[in-house]
Amino acid sequence: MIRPNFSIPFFILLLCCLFGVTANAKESLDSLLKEYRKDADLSKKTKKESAGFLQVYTRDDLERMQVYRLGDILKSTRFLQYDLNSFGMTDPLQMNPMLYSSDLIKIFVNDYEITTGFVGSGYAFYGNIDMDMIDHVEIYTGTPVLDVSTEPAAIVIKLYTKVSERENGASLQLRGAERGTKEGSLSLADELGGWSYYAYVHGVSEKYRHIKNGAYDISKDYRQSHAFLNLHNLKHNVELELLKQRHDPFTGFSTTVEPVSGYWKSPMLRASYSSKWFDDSLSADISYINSSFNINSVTASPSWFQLKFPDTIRAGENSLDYKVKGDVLTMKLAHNRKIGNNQINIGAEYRYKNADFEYFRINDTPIDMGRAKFNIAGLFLEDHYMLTDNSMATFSLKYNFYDLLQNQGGNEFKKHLNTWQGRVGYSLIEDMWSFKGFLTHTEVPQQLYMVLIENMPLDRYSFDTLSSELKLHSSKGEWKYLLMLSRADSADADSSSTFVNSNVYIVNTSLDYRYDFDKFNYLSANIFLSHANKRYYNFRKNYLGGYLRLLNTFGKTDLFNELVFREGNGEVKNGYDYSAGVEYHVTKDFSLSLKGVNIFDSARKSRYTTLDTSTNPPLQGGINLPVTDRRVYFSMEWMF
Amino acid sequence: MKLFMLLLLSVGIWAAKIDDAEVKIWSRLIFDIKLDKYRIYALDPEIREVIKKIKGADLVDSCKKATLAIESKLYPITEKDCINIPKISNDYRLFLKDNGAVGVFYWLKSRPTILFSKHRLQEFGIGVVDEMKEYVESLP
Repeated sequence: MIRPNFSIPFFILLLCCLFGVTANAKESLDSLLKEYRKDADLSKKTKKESAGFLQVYTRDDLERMQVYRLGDILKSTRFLQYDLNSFGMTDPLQMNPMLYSSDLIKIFVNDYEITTGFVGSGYAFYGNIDMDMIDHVEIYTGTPVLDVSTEPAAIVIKLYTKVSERENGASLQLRGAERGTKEGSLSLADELGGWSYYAYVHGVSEKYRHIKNGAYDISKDYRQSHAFLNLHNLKHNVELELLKQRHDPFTGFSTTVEPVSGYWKSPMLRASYSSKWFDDSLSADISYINSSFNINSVTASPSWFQLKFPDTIRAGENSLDYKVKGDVLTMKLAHNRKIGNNQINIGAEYRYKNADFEYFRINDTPIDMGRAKFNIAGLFLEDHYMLTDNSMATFSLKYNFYDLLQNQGGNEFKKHLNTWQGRVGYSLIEDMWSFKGFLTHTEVPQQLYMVLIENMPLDRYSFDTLSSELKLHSSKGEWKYLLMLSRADSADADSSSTFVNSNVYIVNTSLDYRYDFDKFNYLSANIFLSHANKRYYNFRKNYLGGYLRLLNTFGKTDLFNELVFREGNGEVKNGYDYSAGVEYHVTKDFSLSLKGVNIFDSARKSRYTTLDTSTNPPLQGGINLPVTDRRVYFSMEWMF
Repeated sequence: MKLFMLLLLSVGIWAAKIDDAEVKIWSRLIFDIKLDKYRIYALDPEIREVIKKIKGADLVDSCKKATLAIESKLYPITEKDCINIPKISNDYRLFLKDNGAVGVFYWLKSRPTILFSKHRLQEFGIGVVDEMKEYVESLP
């Protein structure tokens, strides 16, 4: 039931609604500069319309929506929900009790992929990253391919950091929330000896409401330190990033959701470099990531891992303790060339990644999980062919060769796999409307954690998608309609593949609307429906969601309102996540903000499967837990 | 066709599109400086495209004919002929280095910003209109 809660942000929201949305600045130089700031958003230089179906959050959106975490925007992203796996790692496609299910969501910072050797996507530890250093976000759906992502992806999230040339100064942000949550970030942008740099440090101690499951405390609290440095000149770009996190164990992967104690840590170090030559027609990237997952969990029942090792199950408390390290090295060379009506993009990629269990202990008994490494070589070719002045055909092809070397129990295994991705597309632009459609084929290999922990053979599953988007626009706004029809098959290892049953047919459809009251006030809305022909894991056959968002600026005050709806199922109620915020710009360099998240405490919960192993046969059940908490943040930003 | 290619290829449509607000701001920057004639010299192709859209401002090919020059980080103006005319820069560091630059339109703390040097305006014996005076500062 929705409980009205007359919090401060709620009153601010009401005031905002009462004000109306007709504020219109006169064309002073000041308002021209503000208008230019919106028009010159950096996303207009980085977004790739041909890469898929795109959603963009500009710098202006992120600031006015007071986006502090990536999860703040992903919770309203079409077809997705903000969700956590059993350890509290960001896992929007979670299929509990599977360890992790969101490999197909890839995440990038400034075109460098954040990934791990272990789970195939950095989303697990980067999915709710701090956003103070981020300038804008691009989210690509519709199996974006080729130059966007090294490995196959269903959704690509690209984060672009603030750039030195636009910051030219320092910024200090301090933030607090209830239960002693503390957060701060400091950034500095300047030029040194012909190089521009943007340096950023961030720290947070986030404390959430703890949920009681009987005598056991379920906590998502975490501490995080984050440092980032971008250094570039006209030819070269260098980035260094360090991330350290320590999270409470959430459910601890317990079969009865009864965590006793523990933590998970996932430190990451990234070094990336890229360069361009010959009028930017030839580009080279190299990026190295070292990361690890260190999980320590004591639970009042066996962990889900132990079901694979029944001999380790004991009455009372059980413990799980492991550390897996991984390196990922990615190199890419790409060449862009225009020949007649063809714009050709051709390139080669190489990726090395490994996962190495330093230790894996259940109830202090070591188990050899081994190690594995992938050598991945890829070639891609893409051609954009102009059919007429306003229509274009796109042909894309990508081949990846996976070479797996696995070491388990002192024995070495070598396996190979070939995967293909292909796409044909057509785009048409008219004055008041545009259309784009794609037919894609994608083959996805198993990730190393599946090979090592789930003991799956190296194999692939494939999916084909026919998708199209129709956009109608006017001076006051736009409508967007997206339809995606997909067919996915399973890997040969049927029982442990991502889809339990082969040939799952999925229809995803979405309608977006945006109305611009003026340059600084707009309303946007989305409604989507996902339909699968059969139920798999805890996904339902039909899934409905949407949002309604209002952004306003009145003089020195920015207001934000958002209602995110996500449908429940028989076991979980419908979720209504209502958030609102106000930011007051005291001076050009100093602002104060207040933001309420999930104000009615009615956001959709997630269901975590339970299994009572004391009965014969074991009895399956579940428990619903909140993943988006009700929060009130108070922030300040000082630029100097 | 070029615009369409840009929309669907590697960069967004607006990367090459000159925004109305940008034209209006450059227009204000130019005409709010009190000059007899507005003959503009610029090397930066993007800035030249902007100037072409400003009514009443003539784009010229050399500083000999110009009354005002606009320079950018990638295209600084260093010709001797340009020493005697005021310049506007779109890069703050270039503005600091070039004593001939009387004003600058640049990004500071994530916001587009305008600044004029009172001292340098005086050296060229020119002024700005009243509304622009709040952007004039006592810089060297």
